[in-house]
Amino acid sequence: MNPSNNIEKSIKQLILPGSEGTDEQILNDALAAFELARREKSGKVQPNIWRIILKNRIIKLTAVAVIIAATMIGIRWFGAGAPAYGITEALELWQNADIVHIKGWKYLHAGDDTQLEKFPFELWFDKKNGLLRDWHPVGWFGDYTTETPKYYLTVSDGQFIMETSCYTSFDDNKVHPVVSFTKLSPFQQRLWIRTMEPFPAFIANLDQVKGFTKVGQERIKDRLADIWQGEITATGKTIPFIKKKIWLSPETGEIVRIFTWRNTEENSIRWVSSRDADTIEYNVAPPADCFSTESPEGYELVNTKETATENELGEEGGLKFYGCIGFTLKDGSVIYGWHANHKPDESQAHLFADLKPGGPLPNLPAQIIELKPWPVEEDITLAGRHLTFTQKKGKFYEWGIYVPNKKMPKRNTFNAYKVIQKYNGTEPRSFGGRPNLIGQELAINSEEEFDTWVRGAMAELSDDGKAPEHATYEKVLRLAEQIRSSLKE
Amino acid sequence: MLEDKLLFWKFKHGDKDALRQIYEKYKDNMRTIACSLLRDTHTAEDVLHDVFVSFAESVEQVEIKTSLKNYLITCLLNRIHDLFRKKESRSVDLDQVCSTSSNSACPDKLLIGSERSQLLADALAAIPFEQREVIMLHLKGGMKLKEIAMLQNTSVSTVQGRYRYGLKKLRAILNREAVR
Repeated sequence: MNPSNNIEKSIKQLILPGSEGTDEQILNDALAAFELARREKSGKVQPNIWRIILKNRIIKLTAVAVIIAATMIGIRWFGAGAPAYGITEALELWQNADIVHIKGWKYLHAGDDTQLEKFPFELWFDKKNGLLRDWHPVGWFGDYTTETPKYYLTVSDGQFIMETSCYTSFDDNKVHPVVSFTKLSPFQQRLWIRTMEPFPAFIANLDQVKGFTKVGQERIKDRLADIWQGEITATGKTIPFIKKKIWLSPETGEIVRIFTWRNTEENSIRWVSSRDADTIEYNVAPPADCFSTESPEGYELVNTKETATENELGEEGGLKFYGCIGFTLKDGSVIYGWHANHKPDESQAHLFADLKPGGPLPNLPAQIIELKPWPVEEDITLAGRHLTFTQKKGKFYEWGIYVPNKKMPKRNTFNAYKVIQKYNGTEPRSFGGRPNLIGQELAINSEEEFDTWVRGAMAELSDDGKAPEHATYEKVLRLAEQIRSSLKE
Repeated sequence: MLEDKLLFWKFKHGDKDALRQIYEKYKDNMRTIACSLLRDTHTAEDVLHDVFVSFAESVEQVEIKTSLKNYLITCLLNRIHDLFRKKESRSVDLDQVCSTSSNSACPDKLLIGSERSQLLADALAAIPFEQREVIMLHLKGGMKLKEIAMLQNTSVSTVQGRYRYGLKKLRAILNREAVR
């Protein structure tokens, strides 16, 4: 070898390879961080409690409906005269409606937001039966990245969730539409219906729309509607990021139209049209095939309903450290189920031996040791203790109880719980991801709810389909009280 | 450059594939630079990991003033320098760490595919860090000496000197190796 005459060329060609699997891990982590950043930016809390559902775009899509609910709360009726419906009643109407149909226009652009284009969207929402159909153009903060916006369709027939998507092939550089199915277990089906309610994480911001004011009246589709307008500011921010105009029928309390603008600036205000939900209907009959999960033509099948498998709660491809589901108890404590094993082939049975309720968490390779209200309030910490564990298909699930050291603020005053992790001699990247925020935990206010959801979730993640006997409503509340006392000491 | 601008634009607008493509495009160069400077594959991969996760997390804030490649390599370099500072604060001499690594069963040696590459990597490890940094950033990172001077907070002539002396030492080492 005589490289001295060509060292520069040799260095240019030098490639030092990495360890096996590292690229995949780095890319997975980067993609997870990317996704989280996107959701946080959009003001939608990244939930970790139920990835099978939460990873679906239903959340984003349902957000349309949620924002409707969110926008309605806190607005007071100031109109004079008629016994008009106020916003609270309107919200109730929304919550009580079995079926809601929303359609309208989404404003997108191809890079220049002064050149907006309108694209239709449509959402059918049958809360009673857990049915959903959501069809919308793909765009992120008003932008689309291809010359023709791609449309995504998500349909839930209660048993399956069908999602269309697309990918750009590295082989031919073309966009390939694909469709995939996710199967829901009976528990997940019930949970799906339960979480189709307006989500607590979004309701958390409702106080911010109290300042909406009535700005006029307009006849819309032969009905007189009052127009309410206001801006929404994200928690901890001073510059609003959303402006809305809401048309509310004073006669029926129905929200009949919502126009949304988004602020494109970080430190100032420049409103750009975002969405016009110009048709909002309640309890109307959906088209016959509205909730059909038959694959649309021309799509490549990732899987079929026959081959679709049930994902466990929280499980998402490749993740070895994740949250499964969370619950807030009436005393402010949180029960959070999670899994952490970066070596899936190795049993963790010994790590779960001799654990006591209220004692330390199992010494897993990664732990969720604390929770904090988010945006973070430094002086409030929910300390993690072991409650119980379950085991399914060789995986161990820790059910931690997280008890606040101080009186918790009202749940609707903060967005989510920040997950504080600890790694015990392991590299974070060896888990392929990590839980970050719990944004859509279920509120548990009665023994019946506890049995249905908390014990139901534990049973769901158990081989024998049963929850641990000692994990009962009364015992857990007593345990939380004991932990709280010990924290004070 | 145009391709990078398009990729970055897509990335800024939420395209996961763009992030994948950016990673695929630059991972080898960045890993090679990090490995060469750190002389430890695992630490280099940690740095690469941190750079890309941070890049992805801060999608909203990232603004590219020069080129995407320069931006990523600058991030990489900043991380490496941070690492050095931390090691220095623990009273560990980095050069000593590097030379120890190169004498032990360094993972690099196991991973480098060819004898030629191994010799080159060993030779790079034997020259002072500042010279190695200039050479790697210029030849693998494609950065101009002026840009490297700004990164190293020194003059262009100093960087030119480091590059020239570094190459000279490399030649000397490799000629010696070639004679064996």
